[in-house]
Amino acid sequence: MLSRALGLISNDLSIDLGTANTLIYMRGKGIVLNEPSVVAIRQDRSGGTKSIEAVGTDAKRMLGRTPENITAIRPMKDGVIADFTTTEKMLQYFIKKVHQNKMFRPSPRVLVCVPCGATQVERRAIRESAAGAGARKTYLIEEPIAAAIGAGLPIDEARGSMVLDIGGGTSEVAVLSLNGIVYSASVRIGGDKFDEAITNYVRRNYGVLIGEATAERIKHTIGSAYPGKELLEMEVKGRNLSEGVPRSFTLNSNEILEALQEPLYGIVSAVKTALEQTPPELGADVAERGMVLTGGGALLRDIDRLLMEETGIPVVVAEDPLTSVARGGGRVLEMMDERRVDFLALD
Amino acid sequence: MVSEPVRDEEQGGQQQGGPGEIMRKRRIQMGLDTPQVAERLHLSQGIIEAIDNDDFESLPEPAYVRGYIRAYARMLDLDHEPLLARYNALAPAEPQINFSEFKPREKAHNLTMRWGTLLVSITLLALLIVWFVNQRAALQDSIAVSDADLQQYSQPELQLDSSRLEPLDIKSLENELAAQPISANARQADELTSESSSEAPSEITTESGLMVQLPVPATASTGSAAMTSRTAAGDSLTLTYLADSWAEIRDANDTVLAKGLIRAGTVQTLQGEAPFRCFLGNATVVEIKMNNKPFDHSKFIRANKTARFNVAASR
Repeated sequence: MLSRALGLISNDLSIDLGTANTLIYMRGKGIVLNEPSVVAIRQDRSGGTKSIEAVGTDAKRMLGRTPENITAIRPMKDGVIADFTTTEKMLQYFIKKVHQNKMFRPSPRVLVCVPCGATQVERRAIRESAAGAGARKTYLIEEPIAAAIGAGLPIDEARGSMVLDIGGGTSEVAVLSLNGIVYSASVRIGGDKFDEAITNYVRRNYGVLIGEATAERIKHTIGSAYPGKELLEMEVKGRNLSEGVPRSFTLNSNEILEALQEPLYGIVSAVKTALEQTPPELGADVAERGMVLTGGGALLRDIDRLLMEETGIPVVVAEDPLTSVARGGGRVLEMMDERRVDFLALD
Repeated sequence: MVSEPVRDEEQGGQQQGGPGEIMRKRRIQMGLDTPQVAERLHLSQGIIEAIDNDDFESLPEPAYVRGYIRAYARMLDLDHEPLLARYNALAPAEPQINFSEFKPREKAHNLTMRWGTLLVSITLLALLIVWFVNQRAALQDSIAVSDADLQQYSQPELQLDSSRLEPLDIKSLENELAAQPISANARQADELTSESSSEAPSEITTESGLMVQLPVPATASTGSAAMTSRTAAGDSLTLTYLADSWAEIRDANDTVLAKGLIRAGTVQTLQGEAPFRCFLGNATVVEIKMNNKPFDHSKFIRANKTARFNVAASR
């Protein structure tokens, strides 16, 4: 009775609590929030009380540019919670932000997507931090299922659908059929690893140190996964390690392609393993229709080409791949009350 | 392929809305045939032909087809956005995910639990209401009983008391009553009504006696007014005992006015409603006056000196 009353003042949410970005889908409204999973914490003197300085986009701008008393941190790492308290605060902030009602404390039902490789401890941490952030009830759903539903795949049919979700911290590959997971694997390679690879490459080859934000910008601008027809160039500034002063230099897309080889092949081999492990009937279905790419990683230039050439099966990039998981969770949320949704991990 | 352009022209006129026409023309312009495209995109030749012919029925779900069109367009150096817009206009609706239609067992179990709980709570509520109603009825009964008791206890005593007041001028008394402050009387009346059945009759008598002695306006207590009028209508029976005698006197209401052994020399004045029913043990030694008029009862005296007779009002 009470929960129904609370339901009137708060809307159900589907949260894609990602390493890089947190997306919130509100029931009946669509994607209402898409912000980086970054929190800036202010602590004025050592041992003093910590307070939240900024969350989301504002906090991300501070990454690597903070004074001593402010630390900008990313509370999620490899798809799971690394800093419990900060994650809770961040979720609380986001939930409050998407609820316009200022009078009551929102207490929505929340569906959170978790990587399929997450351990019991990691799942529990997510559930508890959602509860701590004010969720009335927390449901967990495996990311590949949400991604497949969000991409519009017919996962209820007796036919194999393969989905590859490349997130910020993890990449999930799964083969689904009849509303269930036939095979799934999670590798801790994602956008962050790409950035790291670019940073390492630049340091090794140019002797220049660049920050996280710069590495991400390079990836977005000239990053590619497969040799393209045109060569893209970009001017980058960083600190020269030997001289100790900032220097400017030019990077091209082929160099980035070379830098990204290692993490990309980690993903490719995960996909190949998945194809090996898939039962032949479902493997045939996947080979006929192809696999679907979702997540921010799908936006890397020509990553579908790479996977297509490596695996020999068609690769399709989902529409609006960044929001696939949150939208899929939202669709589950909308149908949850009417139908039995058997892939939800309930309490 | 030589046969390709001919087939393309046949189809082109029919389906202008779909993206297939543009892509096919471009493909031919670039000198590619369907097997080549299929090989490059790792798709089956059938899918490429279906896209070329806008035959969306034989293609998989829209999510896949959009991806195929995007890849195909990129291969042909075409902008995929207008092509996708054309496709979206013709595309079949997004498939609805069919979740299991069966009711989960634990949910059914919950349902029985829920109904069971509801039933039990309703039963409990009903029992509670029944108990409450009964309790109320019992309370009202006890209140009624206490009222009756109050009347039963107070009436005869009041009558006896009023015999003492009888000589008073009622009119002057009433005038006096009206002159008294009402608040005190009201309090008095409240006390009387709040008396419960558990109270001793003697106490009630005291209260009632006080009531009569205290001036009570007619509005405060109609009972006292009735009492006064009854006093006025009452009759007095005077018995003079010359020797010891046993006596039992009852008035018209069957109220026992005197009962027991009365010693010699006693003069008994009884107040009540005529006719009085008298039963005397030693009738020969008793002189009777009814409303101060001598009453001869010698004719009722039997051989054993007892007498049983009625004394009627003789005013």
